[in-house]
Amino acid sequence: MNSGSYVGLLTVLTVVVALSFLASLMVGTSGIGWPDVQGVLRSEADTTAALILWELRLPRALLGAVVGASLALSGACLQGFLRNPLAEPGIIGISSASALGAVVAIYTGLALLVPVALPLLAIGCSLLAVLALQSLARSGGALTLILAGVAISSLCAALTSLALSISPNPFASLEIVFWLLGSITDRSMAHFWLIAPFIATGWLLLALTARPLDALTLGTETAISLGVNLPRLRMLVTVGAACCVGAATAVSGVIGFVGLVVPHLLRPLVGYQPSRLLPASALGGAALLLIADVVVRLLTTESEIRLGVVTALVGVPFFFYLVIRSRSVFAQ
Amino acid sequence: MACITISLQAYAAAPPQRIVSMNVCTDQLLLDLVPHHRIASLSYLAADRRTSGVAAQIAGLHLNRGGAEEILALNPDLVVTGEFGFRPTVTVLRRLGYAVLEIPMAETLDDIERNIATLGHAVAADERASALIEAFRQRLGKLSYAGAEDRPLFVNYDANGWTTGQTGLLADIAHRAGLSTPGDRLGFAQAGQLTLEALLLIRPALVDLGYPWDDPPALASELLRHPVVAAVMRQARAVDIPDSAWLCGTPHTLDALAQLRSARDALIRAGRALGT
Repeated sequence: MNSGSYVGLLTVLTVVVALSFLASLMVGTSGIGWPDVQGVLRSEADTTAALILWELRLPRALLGAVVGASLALSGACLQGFLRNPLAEPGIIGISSASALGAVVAIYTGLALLVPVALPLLAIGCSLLAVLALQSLARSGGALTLILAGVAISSLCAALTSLALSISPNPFASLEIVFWLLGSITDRSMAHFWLIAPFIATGWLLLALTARPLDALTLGTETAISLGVNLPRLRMLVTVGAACCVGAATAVSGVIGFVGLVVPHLLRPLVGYQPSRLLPASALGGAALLLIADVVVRLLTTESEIRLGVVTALVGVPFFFYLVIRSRSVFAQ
Repeated sequence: MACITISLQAYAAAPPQRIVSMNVCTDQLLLDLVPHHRIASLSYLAADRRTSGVAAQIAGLHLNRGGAEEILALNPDLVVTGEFGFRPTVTVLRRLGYAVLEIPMAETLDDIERNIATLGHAVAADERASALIEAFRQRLGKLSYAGAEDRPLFVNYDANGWTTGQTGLLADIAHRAGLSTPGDRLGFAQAGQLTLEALLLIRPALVDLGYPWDDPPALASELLRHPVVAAVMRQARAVDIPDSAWLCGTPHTLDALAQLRSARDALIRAGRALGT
């Protein structure tokens, strides 16, 4: 694939992200739409429209873009590094571990005293999950990694439910659904600024893996002979993915399958080259989550459906397709 | 069946002396009707200031969590409870021959009179009940506003965005106080959820923010700290009615009505002052 069509792909994805970001600003339960948004931008509109735009829809759109990009980027890196097509933060338990960390930070009251404890604990648990996965699946094949991930995921979901069930707060047990299925409804700019530094760090670390991941497609021995420092690469992927998934999950709950669907759809379009897949996946993930979040708002149900429900409905058929296609790999 | 009839006859004959209440609403009605020495136990929620208006008056009374074993050990001659919760416990107590009285939830202020009368009769305190009902009626009459005009919008914004509909005890209290509810404006009958966007757009005149339940915290109360809620509070008058005043229908529920009525009158006066 030549670099001209690669630039074209990135341009198209950027336009889709920009359009879905605008759509996210214009859709909501109140009738505030495009004319009001224009009015607010010219600072003529009344304060209600301005409040809705700046304090409700902007943080929601920003979080949709940032969380989607982080999940897809982490998925693309993990798949490249572990050379496993099913390595996705949700499937292999990194998201559930992050949610457990966030739950501990919030429901013990720690995050109320020290807000930064929320992303830090989520990232800490996420890091533990990645390290556990790597040690569990070190010598095994593709299937070992997925099974270890399923075990970690189930354990963390169970502990999350347990922590929320034993909380004396009468609302806590109702919030199990939020942590297991995710949502970015009614968040504020405070949430965005809280996770922004960690997300930026994660993106930077994962960006540094682009070249070494290209070399790794030729096989571990070749990569080493080409000068790839494998322990350094492992550190970058581990800490980078933990920062991205941990910080994202801390404010949005577990949103699955974004890191699976996006890299797989884009891989053929970038000529199976990891260094090109990473930026494309980040853009694609942002677009997918923004669109899913607009869909959530357009489906008028009694209470809003969770973001994770939409991504799972899109992602699971895709997952089945990948399982069927990978049967030969797992049969080894 | 035979033993239920026998036990019911038994309590009809002699006034019950070991009454157990399993519900925070019947706890409060019971305390108004009978002296402490006739109460064997109240529900544990009676001691929680967030749900009960009588937390300060129940020192020394036994508290239960509504388990059948626990109730049996108290050897009650009458068990009173609400219609919700404890279904298996009520079933097993009845099967074992205990007299169980279920008091329905008060959905309107008038239901409160009915509940006082029912419970008063069951505990052989009819005279006390009549006196309570008479006082209740007089106070209710004084506090009620009947006009159709000048009904500012009152929003009780609770955890998770839950708010008042057209019916229910709090809606009835708001209507009698001369206020309208989000349910009246947006057309939902029972309690409903308002998103922050919807809360901003309906422009409430009077707002009661729910109890923040910060110890320990939950996401539900985090919503109440959103900057948009602060913006709404800058435009509206705040009122703080304790949840315990309206979660249950008791004679003290009229305290909530009195509070809302004076807040409403203050709003109207302020509006007139601005208009002139």
